Amino acid sequence: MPNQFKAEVFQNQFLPEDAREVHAIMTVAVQAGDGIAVTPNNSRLFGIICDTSGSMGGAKIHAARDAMVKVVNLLPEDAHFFIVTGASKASVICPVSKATPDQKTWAIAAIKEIHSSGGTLMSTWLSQALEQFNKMPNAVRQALLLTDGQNDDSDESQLNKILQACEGVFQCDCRGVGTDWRVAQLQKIANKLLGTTDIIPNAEMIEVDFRAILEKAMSKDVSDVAMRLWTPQGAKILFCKQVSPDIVDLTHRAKIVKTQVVDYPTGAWGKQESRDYHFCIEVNPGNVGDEMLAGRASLVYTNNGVETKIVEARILATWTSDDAKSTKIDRRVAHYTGQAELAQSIQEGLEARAKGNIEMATAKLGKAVKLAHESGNEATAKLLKTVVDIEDAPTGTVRLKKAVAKEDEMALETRSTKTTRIQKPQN
Amino acid sequence: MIMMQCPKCGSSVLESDKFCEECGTSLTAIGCEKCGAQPEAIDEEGFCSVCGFRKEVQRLEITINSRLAGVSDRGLRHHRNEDYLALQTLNNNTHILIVCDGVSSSSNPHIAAQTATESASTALITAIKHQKNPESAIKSAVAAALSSLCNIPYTKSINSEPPSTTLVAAVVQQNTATIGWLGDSRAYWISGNNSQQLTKDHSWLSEVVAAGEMTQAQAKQSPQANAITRWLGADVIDDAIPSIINFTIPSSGYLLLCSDGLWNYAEQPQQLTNLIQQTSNTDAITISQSLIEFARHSGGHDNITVALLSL
Repeated sequence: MPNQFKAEVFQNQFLPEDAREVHAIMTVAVQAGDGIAVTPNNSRLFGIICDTSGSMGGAKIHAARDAMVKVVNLLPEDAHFFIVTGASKASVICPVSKATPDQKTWAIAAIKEIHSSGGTLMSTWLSQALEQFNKMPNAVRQALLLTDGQNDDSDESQLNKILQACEGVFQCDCRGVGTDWRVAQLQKIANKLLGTTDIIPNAEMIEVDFRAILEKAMSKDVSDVAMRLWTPQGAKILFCKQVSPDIVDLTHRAKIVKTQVVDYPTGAWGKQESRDYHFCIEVNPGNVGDEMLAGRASLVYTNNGVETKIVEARILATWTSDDAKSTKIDRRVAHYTGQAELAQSIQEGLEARAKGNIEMATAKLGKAVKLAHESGNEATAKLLKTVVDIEDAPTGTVRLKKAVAKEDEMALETRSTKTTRIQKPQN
Repeated sequence: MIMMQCPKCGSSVLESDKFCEECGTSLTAIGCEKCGAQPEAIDEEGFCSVCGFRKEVQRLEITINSRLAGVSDRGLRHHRNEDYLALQTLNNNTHILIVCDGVSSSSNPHIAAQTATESASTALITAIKHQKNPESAIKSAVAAALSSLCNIPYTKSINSEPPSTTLVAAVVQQNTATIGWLGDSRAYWISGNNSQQLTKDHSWLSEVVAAGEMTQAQAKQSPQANAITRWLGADVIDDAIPSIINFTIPSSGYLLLCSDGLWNYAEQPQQLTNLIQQTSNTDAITISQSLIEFARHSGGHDNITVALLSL
């Protein structure tokens, strides 16, 4: 059954006199069904990038090897794959090959030969991966990067440069095993390459995580999708964020297509996938009674150099002197504004805690507890409980825990951007 | 006659004008009135692809002659005009007046009002030309309006009703006015002390008051006070039966058709009579304009439509 994209915009289009800011939530869902179908891309390339620096020695490298073997075995036979291992420099232990039984056997033999030694220069790993991905530019191109440590500080400018080159060529989910890696470092790579970041606290959990990533990657069948946004002349896009399933600020990723039109990258989409976006557009205000098209958002994918528009939705603005109309806030806009505030409170709370500013940390994390409670974000509420003792969730009254496990703090930091969908109103 | 603004100097111009009489700007190339973009820049929904603003007709003025005219105005609070009107004089002895008020809780009420008015008008003219009596002419006009409403595309959902509208139509021949209506758009006879409301609203309020269940004042307190009980729309195909009356015109005076945007501010026939008598000029268009101005000054909460025939 072909994929069909459906988009809907939720907003309060009514603005008071002189108001300029237009907020809208666009929900996009891929469903199987009839209608304008998107031609699925059946060519998939999956890359495994694994840290083999000295620190990976012992249980970690064993677990990583076992997990990679499992992933290779699970690869569908029509998919392509490659494996890059990296320390101070990178090696392609298995170049791009089709996942036939023979190739799998060959790759598994190579995986078993992996040993850990040397430092950590991630730019070299990504550079090798880039070369492999460039061999199949029309496939759905996704990678998984596993590390346990920090990138060498001397590598920073080189890493920035290579990330620039990788952007748009492939997507990459990043996983840190243990607690010696830096969240910000992996988030930087994952964000640039439209992937997720997460912690794998114990080496024995690598396998489960890898399988989940592979499964998600293999479900993607439309690649290189852009969110195209038209805005009126003189308008300014204050922000464009993906807000579900997690928050990804795309504002500064805008590429100008032509006057009044920009593209934001959204990567590949799979069956049954749904995402929500929050737009905030500043427009030239109209007179009371004026109606304006404040934005036209569409998803566009490119296949073999041909652009196809998948779905489109309109963002409107109508100026009114009726306060009853203009003061209402759309439920979804309010919900996602709250979820963004929740993520920010957690980040600020953890930063304050790291700096020893107990008062600020308590206030911010307390606010986060309150917001998580109100919005029914149970996953985040549970993570917050590992860092604070909650006295009263509805008011956000909390005490910082004296001892917090490093992995709990890192889990909260990496997962704070996960959002919930709006809950059904209760009767 | 559709009023617009010159994109350059802001003076009032007619849609049919080729040049602005004030500044001489060519009006034939007007696309967007806000930013002056070319007509090609306007999309099928009326939005300008340059500045985003929507081109909109907010006021419709029709003058057939000094005796028959009408105005439909957006008012001050609604963001678009969901009323519509049509006027026609046939063979100098038959006058046709139609006012429709789109039901704002339905989908695309502005299209419903315009579609119903236009198809009812066409059907009425055809029926009159075929020597049908006014009563059956109105019935066939309502049927034509209903069938064109059913052809407006709309997406069915729990939250949206099909495009719907009220309708009041009058056919005036010799000394008889035949009036048919559905909903709460009204017809009044305005003539000194003999002024009277000719239609009875199809509304919850008017029904409970007529049944003696409540006084007018009590019923007005109810949240359902404004709910209409009959209208034209695809959801009421079997109930779209107009009430019809034949009114013998007793003397000289005015036949006034209007939407609730006017009568909400002057319900009593005597109030309307006073307003009309205050107007210095007795041209039908001038009186219509002054009634619109009155409703706007009173708050302009709803779209306001007035159709007036001087007899």
